[in-house]
Amino acid sequence: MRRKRQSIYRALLKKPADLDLNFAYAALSARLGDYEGAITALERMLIFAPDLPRVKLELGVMYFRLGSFVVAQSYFLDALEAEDVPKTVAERVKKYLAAIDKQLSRHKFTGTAFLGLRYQSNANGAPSDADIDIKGTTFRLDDSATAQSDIGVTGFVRGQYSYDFFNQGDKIEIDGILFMSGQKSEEQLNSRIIELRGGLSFDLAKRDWGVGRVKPYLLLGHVSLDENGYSRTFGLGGVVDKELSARWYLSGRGEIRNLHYNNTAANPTLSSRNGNEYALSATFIYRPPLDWGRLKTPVLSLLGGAERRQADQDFQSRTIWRANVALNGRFDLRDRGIERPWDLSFLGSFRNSSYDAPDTTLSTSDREDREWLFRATLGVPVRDDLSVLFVYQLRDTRSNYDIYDYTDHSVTIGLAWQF
Amino acid sequence: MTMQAFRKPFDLSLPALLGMAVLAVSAFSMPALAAGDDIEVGVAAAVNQDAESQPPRRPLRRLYLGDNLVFNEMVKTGPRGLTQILLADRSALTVGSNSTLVIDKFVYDPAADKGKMALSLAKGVVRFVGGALSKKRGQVTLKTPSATIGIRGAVVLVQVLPDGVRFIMSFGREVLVNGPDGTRQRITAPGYAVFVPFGGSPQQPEPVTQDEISMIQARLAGRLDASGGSDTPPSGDQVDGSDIARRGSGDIAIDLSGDVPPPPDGSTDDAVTEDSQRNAVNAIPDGISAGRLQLSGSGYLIDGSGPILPSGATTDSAGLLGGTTDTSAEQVLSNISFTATELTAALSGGGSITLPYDATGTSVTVTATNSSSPFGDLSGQGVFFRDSAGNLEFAYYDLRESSDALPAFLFLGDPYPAASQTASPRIHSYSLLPDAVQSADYGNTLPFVAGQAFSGAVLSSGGVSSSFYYIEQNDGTIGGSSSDGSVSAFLQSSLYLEGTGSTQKSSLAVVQGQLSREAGFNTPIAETNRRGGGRIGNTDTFAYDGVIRTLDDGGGNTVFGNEKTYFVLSNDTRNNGAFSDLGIPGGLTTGMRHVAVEGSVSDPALASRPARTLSGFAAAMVEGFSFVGAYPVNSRFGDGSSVSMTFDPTKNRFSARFQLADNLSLSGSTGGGGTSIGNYDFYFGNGRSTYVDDERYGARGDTLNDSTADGVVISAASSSALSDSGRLYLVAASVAPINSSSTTIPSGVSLCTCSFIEWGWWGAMPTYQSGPNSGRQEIVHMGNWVAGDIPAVADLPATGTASYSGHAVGTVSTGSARYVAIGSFSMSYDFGQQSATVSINDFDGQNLTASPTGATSGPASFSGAVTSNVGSRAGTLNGAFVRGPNSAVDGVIGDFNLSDGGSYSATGVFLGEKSTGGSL
Repeated sequence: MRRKRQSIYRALLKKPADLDLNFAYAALSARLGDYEGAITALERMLIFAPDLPRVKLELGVMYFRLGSFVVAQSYFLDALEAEDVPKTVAERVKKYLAAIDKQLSRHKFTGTAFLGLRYQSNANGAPSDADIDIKGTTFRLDDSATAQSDIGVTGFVRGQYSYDFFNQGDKIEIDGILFMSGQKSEEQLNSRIIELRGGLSFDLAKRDWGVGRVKPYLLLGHVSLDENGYSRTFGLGGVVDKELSARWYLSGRGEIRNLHYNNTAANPTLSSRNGNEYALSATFIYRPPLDWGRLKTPVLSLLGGAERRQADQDFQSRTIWRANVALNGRFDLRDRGIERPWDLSFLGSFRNSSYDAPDTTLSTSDREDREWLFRATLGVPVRDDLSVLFVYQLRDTRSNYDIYDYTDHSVTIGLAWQF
Repeated sequence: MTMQAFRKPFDLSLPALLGMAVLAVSAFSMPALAAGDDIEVGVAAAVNQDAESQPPRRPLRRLYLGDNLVFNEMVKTGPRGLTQILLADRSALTVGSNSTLVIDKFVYDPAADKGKMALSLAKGVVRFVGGALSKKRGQVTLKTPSATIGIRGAVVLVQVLPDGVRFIMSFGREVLVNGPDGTRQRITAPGYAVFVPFGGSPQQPEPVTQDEISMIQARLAGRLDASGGSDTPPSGDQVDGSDIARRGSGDIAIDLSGDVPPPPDGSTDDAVTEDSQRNAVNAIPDGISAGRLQLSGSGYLIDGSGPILPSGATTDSAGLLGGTTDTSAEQVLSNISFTATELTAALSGGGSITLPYDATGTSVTVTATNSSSPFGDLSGQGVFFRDSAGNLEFAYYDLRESSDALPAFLFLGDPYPAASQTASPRIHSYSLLPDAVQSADYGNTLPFVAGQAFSGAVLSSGGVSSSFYYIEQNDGTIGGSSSDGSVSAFLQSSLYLEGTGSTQKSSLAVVQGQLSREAGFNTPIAETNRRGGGRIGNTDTFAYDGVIRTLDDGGGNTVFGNEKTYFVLSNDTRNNGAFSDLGIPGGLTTGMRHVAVEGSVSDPALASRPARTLSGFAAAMVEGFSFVGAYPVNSRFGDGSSVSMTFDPTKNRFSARFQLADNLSLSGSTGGGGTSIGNYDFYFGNGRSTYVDDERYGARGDTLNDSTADGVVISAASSSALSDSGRLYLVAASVAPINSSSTTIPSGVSLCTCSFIEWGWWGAMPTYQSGPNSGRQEIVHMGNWVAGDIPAVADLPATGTASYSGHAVGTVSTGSARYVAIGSFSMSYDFGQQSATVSINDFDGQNLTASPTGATSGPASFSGAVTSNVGSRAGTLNGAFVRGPNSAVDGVIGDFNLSDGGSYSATGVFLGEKSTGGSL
């Protein structure tokens, strides 16, 4: 495709006014992600036909994709001032302008709200087999302690606020999430999670440290279960996002947090987990130069990380290694008459937990868990800001402590609103 | 490879510069330009007049669409002019109106995307859209009247203003603005601009406004009356239907929709589900709501080796575990909660206690770090008993307050459900676990025996303790009595006998009683007197006293468990009770608690429990308690049964009567104050008896008949379970046998098993309640009895001989010392002659011989004088035949007494079974 574009460019140098060549060059450049190339062709066409709102629209789109919102805005505004602006052009321009207004604001607030129904085959994370081995003795669990399926309502609101210092990229960013779930049967698992992160976001480019950001933050969180305070956390962390090349990106995170659990009548031993957590992770993100068939703007992520939990009780202290693979993209179905692309994402995750000491009530060996997780998410937009989400998740944990083996299939369906 | 410099003519196509793959351009090996050489660098891709250009050394020319431009060509536009120049590296320059731009340098290696581009803008406005060269730093520069900028991967707008130059980065990596004074600013974010005044330094980057952009865009836009030189400008429809529209605004949904994050799975770190699972298997007890804690009350003393209990009045149990002069010493637990590793409870005295717990194990060590209490650090051990499902049934903790080793005891359990009682009676057997203080401090594991009284003797070594037995009443209920009069009766005994002579130490403890029901308690109560006694060589003979009672958990429960049952027996702390050893100089007040753990359950129907009446003999050394002295008493045979015992299995009871006499008439001389006691009539049992089977039975003083001495009541009968002033006790030897390795048993002597003969121990503490000896107190420690089915003379063989062997056991008094002695017994009897030869050997180091003759009527008895080979000791021997499984004369039993007329006396019983050596 690049060679083809190169040959078109050579032809353009001979015949710069050839519309076919110009359209082809612009389209190929856009397809290759070389929006500057598309811009040169479109600007040329605009010189040829200065009053074409459609060309201004497309120019604005290219600048929008480059993140040059002020220039994009000027083209979009210009497009609306033309006579006889086609309706579709005007509609699109207005949508882009609305998005640009948010981008250019010093204060940005975006978020997602979700409400859905979730079915889990094993909501209580319990073994499916009632007979388990504990220190060589076979225990028979009663029904409530074996896998119980359940349905429930789940919802969350995630919001991000940022304040732009208008000094070429430094910001204050605050991120909050409120998650709630209510179970039909396993009411002890009804939960409410709040977590807030806030900190600064420093642009690396303005400091000549390459393209990326450094984001130190503080965090606070609280979880309640079945109307009881369950845990609270506070800590600090930092993210370093760095562009490694045009296609590869690295996001590294380090975090230290203190976790405090409250014992409840139903869960009288939670406080044995009190302690600190130290986490480090690195995610390599790859953005392919071209779309993959119908999958547009695919992003492939590979994460490797380690975590150390130092709890008050040694048998609750552990070292965790994890690896994730994720693929996200947008599924283009316009040829099927579906205007808005569907969001697709797949996540595969592996986590290995090694505990420091045996839980002597259950075993004489140190506990070792391996967890596999697979999640597929499909988002079907029904409106620009509203999608129906379908999530399937499989979680399988194998432990050398029989009691902690479990497999859970869950399906969630709900509505997500972006604001 | 070297760059190919294409020499003009003008019409040489620029694409040749781009070349095929074979053509590489090196910026660093550019050949020197010769005069007259023109290197093409770009083409005018759109031109609105008026626009001109001037190649070097050439005149100004009008610029048209398609014209090639060369190095150092100046592009100049008028007020309405506009041109877009495409360069070989795919970059583009849009030169706005009233502008003057020169391409000073252009070197490009397409293979490596390397080269150099240098531009100069003298006036006007230009848009630069970077191509390949601008992707790397330092390859593209633009010079203006106030500053020179380096462009990297950017779209830049540059405007020369009246007072300076404005540089705007629309998009890109970096625009480096270098001022003439050497200062520089970097634009790194799109939408930011730097202004450099003429002669001044670059100012800080700042965001551009829409107005400014619009103004600049206007100068870089086409005119409605011009078409950029194109004959065929595009139409809206063409744009609409083009691929660029599809790839551009056609993807608006992608541009404008953000990522929707999937909902968190709400696993809350797995902690709650893990805890639920953990707790599910930990058999967290939920049926336990009460418990009891006993502490060392005030006054508990410590000596060098450990805590001792204060001597003092037996009515005051201060200092004992649970002693209530210190009310905090007895506390009840409530709000008991368990975790997998901990138990916590509120205390009735205030505060709470936390102890370690093991949800699946049987014991746990208590330390200062895993426990807490209002009384300081604790140490010790917790012991747990579970049913087959792992549910906790009973737990106890033997503790010490760490700082001063004062003992404490805590227990709790799942109450025994009433519905668990069976409809038919059962015999239950329990192990009594040692008292922790007795065990740790005195080496004593014998229940209800105060080890501290035995002057360092380790009672565990050599002592024998029976299980705790109880037999249910006939309707299967427990406690009270059935309508048929049967009772739930219990029995336990221990015996310690070591040494000979004046250094001997002995202890016999008997626990006998009935289970009862009391208001306010959900489960049966065991309550009885502590009976028995001890003797330390030539020093002291003392009687065991005090009330033994089951402890309750503060919730009205005394029995715990379901599959197996558990309870705790202790001194009666509920009524401030303590144990006393009566007769120890200075007194001994103590307390102890024993956890009873059920061992087995059996069916009484399968046990040997005959209903029968036995006759026999008894002997004992009566010692002064209120006086100094001792004298033997033994059976008054010949006036009827000296000893009779009647067993009633239907009621689980038996009764016994001992008619004894001071046959040697020594009580006058050795009985203190010249008092002479003739005849004793001791009654045992009935309501204070336990008949489990023919091996396990015991009793205290009779509930129906007063025991008397010379007609004076020395122990009153009473229906009360506890009122037993004479402190009588009787127990079969098979309940707590003498340890076969006891040093009291002479070498070569073995005790007769004699299964059809019953023998055992008895004791009393007669207290004369009226008459000339009113107030006199005596003590009988480890007296002996023997009984069997005595046939009539008529049942004896008329001829023949029989030999018998067995043992003799009794008590010796030397004036200053009293002790148990054991010897071998042998007898040969000639039924034709009705005479016998009896030998009792190694009895207190002497051999006794007798030649009794048989009775001619009545019970098949015999009697005669007995002499010792030591000194002038002599006495009387009485005996009788005993029916056995094979004949009426399978065994012989009897008693004897002995005295030297001075300080030495002895009495005892003998038993033997037929051995080989006779004709029968």
